[in-house]
Amino acid sequence: MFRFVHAADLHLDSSFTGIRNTHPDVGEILRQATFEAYDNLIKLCIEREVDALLIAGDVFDGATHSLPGQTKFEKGLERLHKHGIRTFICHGNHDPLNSWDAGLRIPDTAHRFGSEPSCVPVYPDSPTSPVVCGVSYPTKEVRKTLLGDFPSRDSKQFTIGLLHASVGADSAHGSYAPCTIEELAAVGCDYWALGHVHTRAVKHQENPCVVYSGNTQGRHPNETGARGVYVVDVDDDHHIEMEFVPVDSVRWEQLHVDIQDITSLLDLDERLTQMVDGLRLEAEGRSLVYRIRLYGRGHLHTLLAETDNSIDELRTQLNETWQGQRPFAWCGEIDDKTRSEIDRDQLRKRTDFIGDFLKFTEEMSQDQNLRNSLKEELAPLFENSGAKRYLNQILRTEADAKALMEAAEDAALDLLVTEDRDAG
Amino acid sequence: MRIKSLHIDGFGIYRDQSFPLPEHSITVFHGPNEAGKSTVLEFIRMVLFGFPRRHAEQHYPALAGGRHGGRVEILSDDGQCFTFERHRGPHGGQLNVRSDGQDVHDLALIARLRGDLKAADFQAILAFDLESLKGLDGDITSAFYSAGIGATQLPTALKNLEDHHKRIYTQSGRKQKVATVLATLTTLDTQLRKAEGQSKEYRSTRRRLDELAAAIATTDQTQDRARREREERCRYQKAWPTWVELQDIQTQLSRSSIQGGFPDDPLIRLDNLETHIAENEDNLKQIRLKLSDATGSANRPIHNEALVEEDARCKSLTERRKSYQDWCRDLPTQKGLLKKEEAAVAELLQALGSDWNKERVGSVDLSLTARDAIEGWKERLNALQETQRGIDQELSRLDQACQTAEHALAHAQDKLNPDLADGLDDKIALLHDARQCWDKYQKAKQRLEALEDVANDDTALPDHRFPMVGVGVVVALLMFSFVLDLPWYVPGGSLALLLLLLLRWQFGKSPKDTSPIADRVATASKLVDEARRSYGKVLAALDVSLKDVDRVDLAVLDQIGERLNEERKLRQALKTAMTDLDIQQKDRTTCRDQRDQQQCDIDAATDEWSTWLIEQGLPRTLRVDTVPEFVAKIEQGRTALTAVKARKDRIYGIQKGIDEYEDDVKAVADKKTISLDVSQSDVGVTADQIIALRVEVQTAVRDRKAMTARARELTIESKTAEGKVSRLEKRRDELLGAGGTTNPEDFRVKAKEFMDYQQATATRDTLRKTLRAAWMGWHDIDVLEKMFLDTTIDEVNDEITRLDSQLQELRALQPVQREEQAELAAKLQRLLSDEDSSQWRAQREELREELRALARQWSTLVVAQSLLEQARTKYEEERQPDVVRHATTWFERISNGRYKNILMGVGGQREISVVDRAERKKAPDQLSRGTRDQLYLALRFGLIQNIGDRGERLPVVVDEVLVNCDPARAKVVVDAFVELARTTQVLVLTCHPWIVNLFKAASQDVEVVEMASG
Repeated sequence: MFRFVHAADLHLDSSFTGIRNTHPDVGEILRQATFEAYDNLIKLCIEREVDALLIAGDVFDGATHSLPGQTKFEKGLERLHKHGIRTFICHGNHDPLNSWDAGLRIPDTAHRFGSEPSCVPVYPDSPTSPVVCGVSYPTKEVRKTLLGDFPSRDSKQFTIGLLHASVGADSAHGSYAPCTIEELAAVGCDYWALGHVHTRAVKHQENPCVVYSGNTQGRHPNETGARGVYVVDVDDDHHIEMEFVPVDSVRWEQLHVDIQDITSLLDLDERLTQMVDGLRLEAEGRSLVYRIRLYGRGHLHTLLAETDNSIDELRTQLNETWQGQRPFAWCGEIDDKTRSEIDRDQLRKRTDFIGDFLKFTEEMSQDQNLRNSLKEELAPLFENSGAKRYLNQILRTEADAKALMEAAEDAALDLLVTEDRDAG
Repeated sequence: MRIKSLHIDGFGIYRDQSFPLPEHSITVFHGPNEAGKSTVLEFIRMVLFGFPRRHAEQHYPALAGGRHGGRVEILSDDGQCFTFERHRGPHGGQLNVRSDGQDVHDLALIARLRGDLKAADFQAILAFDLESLKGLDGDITSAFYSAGIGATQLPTALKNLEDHHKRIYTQSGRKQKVATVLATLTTLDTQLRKAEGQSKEYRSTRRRLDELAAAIATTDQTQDRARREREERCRYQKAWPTWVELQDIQTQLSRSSIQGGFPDDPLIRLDNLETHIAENEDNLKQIRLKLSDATGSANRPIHNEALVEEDARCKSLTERRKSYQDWCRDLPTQKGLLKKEEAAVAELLQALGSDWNKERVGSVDLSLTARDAIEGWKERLNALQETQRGIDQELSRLDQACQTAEHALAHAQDKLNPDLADGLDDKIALLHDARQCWDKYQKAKQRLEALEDVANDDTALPDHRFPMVGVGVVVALLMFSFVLDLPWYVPGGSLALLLLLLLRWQFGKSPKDTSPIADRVATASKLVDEARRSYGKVLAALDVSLKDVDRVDLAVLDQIGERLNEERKLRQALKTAMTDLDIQQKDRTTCRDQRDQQQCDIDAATDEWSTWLIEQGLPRTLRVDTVPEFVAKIEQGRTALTAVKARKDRIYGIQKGIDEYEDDVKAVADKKTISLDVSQSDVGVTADQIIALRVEVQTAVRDRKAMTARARELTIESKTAEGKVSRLEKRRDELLGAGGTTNPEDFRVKAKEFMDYQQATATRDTLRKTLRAAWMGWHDIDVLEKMFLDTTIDEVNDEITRLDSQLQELRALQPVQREEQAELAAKLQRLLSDEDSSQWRAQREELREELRALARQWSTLVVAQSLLEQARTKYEEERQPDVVRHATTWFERISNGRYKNILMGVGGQREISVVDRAERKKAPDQLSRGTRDQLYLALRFGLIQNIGDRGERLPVVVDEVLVNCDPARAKVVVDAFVELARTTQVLVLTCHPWIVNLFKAASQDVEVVEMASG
């Protein structure tokens, strides 16, 4: 019987993204969230009396690891060492070997894999000990497979492959050390403990078991739901039992709200309050950071557009309700994708300027050169040397350009047709 | 489109007011101020485009009452009628459009009917007054363009968009939001770059701390080593005098003449041996004297020594002496008690019966099993007897019940009517028939009487009340006519009426009811007879006397019914009583059988009981209730017998003890070798003498044994003392021999020399120990001597001086190192606890998010503004020529050809200018006020015509727009309106009669609606 914990992508001391104007108390808790998750991971290893902890890369978030991150990581490994739990670490694109601090002191029971693939028994004195094989990124940019020099395994010992890599095509994450399930299976490991993809996934059920444990703490709006690690039990016949255990301390969620049936800001507030209440229950006692996406057509769009900061006020109101509670619930952002309830088809038939305007925007949207045209319009800001380094390109695809056109059309129509609505 | 009529439910001064508009091209509403002309204009605008969103209730409130709002009937350009109706409500009031009685929901159609215009457009272009015409002065270009293109909000919208995105970002601004965020981000980046050095600083600090820890350890080790070295040298220094003394002693010993061995401590040992020898010789003399005394005492004789042979018996006598005395006193008492108890036993046996003796009493089984059996018998017999008593009671009750039932039966039989023994049910049925026949008979009689009454009425006198009342009324009318001097036709009519009444009375009496009433009476009489006969038959069947059928009415029938019912109840009671009696008799028979059976059971049980008593040895006459008492007596007798037996055993034991004691005393007293005073007859006194003598003899024997033992011990002691003296003398001789002499004095001289040599050796050993102790015993003395031989005291002193100097240097170095270590540790701790960089990173992420949000917002606004501007330019380029062409035509006409062209820029340069006949280009502000107004009017006409060309032609409503024109120009303007009215309905609101006249003069197709003062 052998038990280990498969974890990855700790990203210690990294900041949450996709939120702004955070309350200081909430901000402090969010700042500690990755550490809390790491602490939960260490406690889990000790409570479950595991034999080993495997970390599949990206312990830290950036090439320059923060000092608190390093020291707290050291302390965690030291705690495991005191309980006789061995640790195996490979390095990923966020913490390649050349970025790791030589001054980092890890205990004897912790093993860091180098840039050449190697295999290490979990218990060196036991000939039947399970073996962990792994390899680290020498530098950040590893765009070729790391399986080329991986030692083939055909022994009777249970073998775990530890790797930070992209299995198959995954547009959401950068393609680092790409490989396929077939290539992994060819190595002969019984279990592949993978890192890099932040959403947990069992890529292959058995022979071999190929698993992404996901990151231990969600850090931005797209990393929703429970985040944690896999506790893996292996019996003498190499039969594998996996259990996902959440270790995150703060949970991300997204609320998608169709405004079609919502007629007032008060109704919206009530609806959101109910939804947040439900999410808090699902978070199992954890604090919650959520993002709201309002969409659909309805009268509420007009109400929201009437004042410049209605969205911010709504967000403030929600946060005042929940931020003081423990666990708290914090609204990071409200994304207003609502559209006016104007019937564009009817407006387009009109013979006045509004009709012509809609026809004009429609023609513009069909323009093959739309994205470049809009880029020129937006160049004053996006090509500004000061702002450029902080801003992602807003028009990466033609779809982005069309979305911007729609938003602009809405903004213009909101201002033009106010009187029409008054006229009923 | 033209307006056909207005209907105001409640608006301003109007309530439920309709204004039908004739089919003229121009309608002039003329009336004084406050007549409600502007109210009409606003009403049209309100119905078509809605109430204001805010404070709608204050917008021309229904001062005269009515529902706030109304309707407008219109005729579209294609000739279809529509009704627009609107009343105040949410969102400007709900607009209801109907056509041909059907609601119209096609919003596009409704918008088209309103010319695709908004309220502001209507106000600016189609429904304008003097003020709004002047208002064009303010921002003529924007207003004209926006109104012209159907987007009055456009200038405001463009300005809003521009202001908004400039608040977010401009290339030059520093206070806009993006600039603020960027400035903060730059600051944070700078801080973070600095913070990135923390890791390096931490590493270098930690490395330096490690080096320092190693250096401190080295210093500590060096200091420790120097300190130990110094201690070593100090030990040399301190031990040096001892070393010198040791060397002297060793020299002295090497020169000594003592060769070979000599006993240790010779003088002391010799003195001790001689002292011990003298002491032991004195002790031997004392022992020999004591031995002589003890031997004499042991050989003396003892008086009455013969008692020693009887010691066991004497001991027994001593022990039983008190018991013997008690026995002698208790024996008579016990015998008396025995007699009483034997008498009681005899009485008890007598009470049990003459055939009862001790053996029988003892043979009866009084165990718990037997007692349980008796209880079982008791319960069984009692239960049987209880059951029998119950059966007897039940039997007694049944006897009584039978008697009661028999009595009731006899009573009922006595009451029965023998005549009704058969056919009672038939008679009850007949009684029912009799009632029905009676009813039919009575109804027939009533019918006959009614017919007879009718027949009698026909033959009565006619009624005179009707003509009498009629005449009275007519006379009264005549009298009133004369008294009140009413017109002639009142009394005449009354007389005619009287005449008519009389004719009606006289000739209206037709021979009514010509039906044969007599026949109907005859038929009814027959029916009565038939009913009477039927009734008589039923009564006869009921055995009722038939003397007079009519006297046998319902009361009589009820009496008969009661009697029949009573008889039926009696019969039912009799039947019940017979049934009851039968049941009671059956129960009584059953109960008697049960009682007999029970008696058999009791007899059988009683026999078994008697058999059981005999088996138990008890009298068979005993009953279950007397057995316990009898058994108690047996138990009492058995207890008394046990007591008698115990008493006899006790008396026997006492007597036996007395006899044995006296036999033992006599046996001792009879011995001749013992001298006793046997003159006393009392055995007790003799026994006491024996006991006293025994004590004396025992004491004497014990003393003699002690002396014998003492003599034996002293003999042994004497031999031991003799041996000791001999051994001491031998040891003295041996000591002297070891000293090489037999003379103690020679021995003493030799011993003195030896002791001096021994002292020197001891001193040498002590010095060696001292030296070893200085090194804590680490080294053997040979090593130590070699170490001392290898150095000198001067060398030692020099080394100590050198080490002191080294230690002083190390002590100075240590605080410096410790201080640096503490500083580095504090620095390390500070670096570890410094979480600013983490906060800065989080803040940077938030600001980046903020920047992204601002960028998105800015992009949307910039693109929106750009789209609007591009669309407007396009619109202007495509549509403007028509507007300008129409406006030029109108302006040339209104200005009587003084101006021939209007020029208008497009895109960013929206400027208006006019060209006169002399080809001079003028800006509006270069024109006179009146010409400028004409220009704006021409522009409006151009727009109106352009709008009309594109869609529905809405009516034009003008309110006092000509008041600023001189008469000549006013005529020209009126002519222009007349021209416009060829295609468009024109409604003119004015309070000036000359304007009315101008319109009338200009066209035949003018209708004037006069409005009264409000």
